[in-house]
Amino acid sequence: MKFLTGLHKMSAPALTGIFFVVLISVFADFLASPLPVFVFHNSSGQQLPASPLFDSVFKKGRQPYENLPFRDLAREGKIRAIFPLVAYSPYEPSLNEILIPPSGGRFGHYMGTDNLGRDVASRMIHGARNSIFVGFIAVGIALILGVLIGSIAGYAGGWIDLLLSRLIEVVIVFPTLILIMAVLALLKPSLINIMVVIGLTGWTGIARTVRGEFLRRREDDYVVAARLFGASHFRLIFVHILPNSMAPVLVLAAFGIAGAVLTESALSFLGIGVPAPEPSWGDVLKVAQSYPDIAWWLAFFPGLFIFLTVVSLNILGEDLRRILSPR
Amino acid sequence: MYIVRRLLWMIPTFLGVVTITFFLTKLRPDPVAQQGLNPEAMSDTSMSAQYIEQQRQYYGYDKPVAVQYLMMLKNLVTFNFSTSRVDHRPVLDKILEALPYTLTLNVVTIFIVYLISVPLGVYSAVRDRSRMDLIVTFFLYVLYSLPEFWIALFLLRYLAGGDYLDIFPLGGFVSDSFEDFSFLAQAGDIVWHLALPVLISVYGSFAFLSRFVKSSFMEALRADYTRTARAKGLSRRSVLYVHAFRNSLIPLVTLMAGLLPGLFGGSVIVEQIFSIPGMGKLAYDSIYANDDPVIIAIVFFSALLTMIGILLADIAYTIADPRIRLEGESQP
Repeated sequence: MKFLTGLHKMSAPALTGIFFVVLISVFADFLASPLPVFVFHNSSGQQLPASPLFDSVFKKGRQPYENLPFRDLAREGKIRAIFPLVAYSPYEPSLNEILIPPSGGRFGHYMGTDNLGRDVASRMIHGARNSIFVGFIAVGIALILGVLIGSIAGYAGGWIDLLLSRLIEVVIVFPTLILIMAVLALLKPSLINIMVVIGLTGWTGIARTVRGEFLRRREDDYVVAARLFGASHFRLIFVHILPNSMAPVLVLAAFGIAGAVLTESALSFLGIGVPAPEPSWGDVLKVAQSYPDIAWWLAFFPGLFIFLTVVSLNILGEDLRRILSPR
Repeated sequence: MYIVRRLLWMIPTFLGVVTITFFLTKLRPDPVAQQGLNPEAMSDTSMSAQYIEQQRQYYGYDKPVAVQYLMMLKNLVTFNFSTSRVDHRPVLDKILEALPYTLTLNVVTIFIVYLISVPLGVYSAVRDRSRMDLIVTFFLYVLYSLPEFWIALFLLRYLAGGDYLDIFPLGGFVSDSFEDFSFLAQAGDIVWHLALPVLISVYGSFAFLSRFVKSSFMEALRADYTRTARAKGLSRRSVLYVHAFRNSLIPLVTLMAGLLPGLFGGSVIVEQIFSIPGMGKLAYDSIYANDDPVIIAIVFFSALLTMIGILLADIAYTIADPRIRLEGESQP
């Protein structure tokens, strides 16, 4: 972790931004939910659970209060309760609250509502989870594939290298977005399919980099020494060469996550991303496309979230590259 | 000799791409393509059983998949791309119809990207790590990270359509009355329609290209011949712009060749937003109409151009820089 001390000035806000988005996605259930965090008292004398939200998150299927209109009860003063930051569910439609502009105050729609009356702030918070998950898991898949294929090709050389290089070339040569769309048309879009498809199309850069590193290092003194001591191929690849080749891969991973987040939102924007009721940043933007003149908030907030996430990751990647490059 | 070997190595890659595409289109359940078709179930729809049977025979769906696969390979080798399943027009016609739009859009885009990125990259290299360099770099990364569909929404809202400013058209490539215009008016009409799509396609590419120019220029600045030129007492200007700049152009040449597939493929997103009937839109529509002759043809050409691009890049590299030899390590 020595390189972290050398981080560029811009990396601090970038890292903070990424940390913030990850935090939002992890605690989405507690940041945006129609269930109160805590109910203090109930004027009609009914027994209420102390914390419906915790119950609903941790004891799924065992809460009898799921459908209680807590917001209305609180508004009418029948209960006293603490609500999450955004007191709306990302799914709950509301016919008399369609396309409401952003408003503050208690139970306000801080980022307005969409065409079905769903709270945009809540959809953004829960959408962060989908978008970030897609980014991380897709790049995780790409990393595993890329490192594995790249290291084997670079280490083995010969006909194995030739064969694997062909495989890499096939995926590079394939028009990526067409491949993604074709696979999604075949498998039906779902969160998992999207992650897998983005991962399956995004590993070639990593594989090529790792292969190059291995070609460069496999005759290094420390590798030769380890080989003379009788280290197995597995040990040579994963213990000796790979750790020394990971620096450029790290850079590619940072850019890869940014790319995956963008791809996911582009897919959702085209209407082939995360399936219908599931919130995603791109999905809110897609709705915005239908109401360009009346609902600026539908376009503004999701775009801003996507942009800030992507720019943070890119700045981080750029800084990693600068720090890790030999000169 | 080397080129022949490279061309031969393209064959397995190509086979892989085509095979993947074939099975992707074949695995989808489709009323016409499906083997176990039930005529009764289809009778209430607009398609009659007889018509379906006719279609299946025409496209060879009644044959085993292996036979269909070999038929497709034979068709591709003989450059016979069959007809679209949606409107029964020759696939090649559809592609040739869409291609000019995409080509125009992309050629203009690439020209502008190079026009702005190269000077920016050179500037950043000469003033490496100065305040201005950092600001430019940061700004380019911001542009690079702005989702194009997001910016497009705002541009369309504020600059087109009418509610705010009605400067640009909402989409399309030419006006409805295009045919009646004079030549100049036609050119103007195309520029008018292209302005927003080009703006959207351009801004994200500055970062990548100018970084590329910067790093290759800096490498040239560090090279021995630059030091020699400086030691000879040549002026700073001459050293920078004659010796270093010319050598740093080599990677740019290779990058040009890499642009070939993009020229052909187009951007699904930009074409979709601005309803430009180019290749990206054709690909998108074909995938969702399960129009597999069109999909296979698009992937075929796209892959072909990518591989030719890679090959051209390698060849251009050796011509531009004779120190690089094609044999040995530069194996793909």
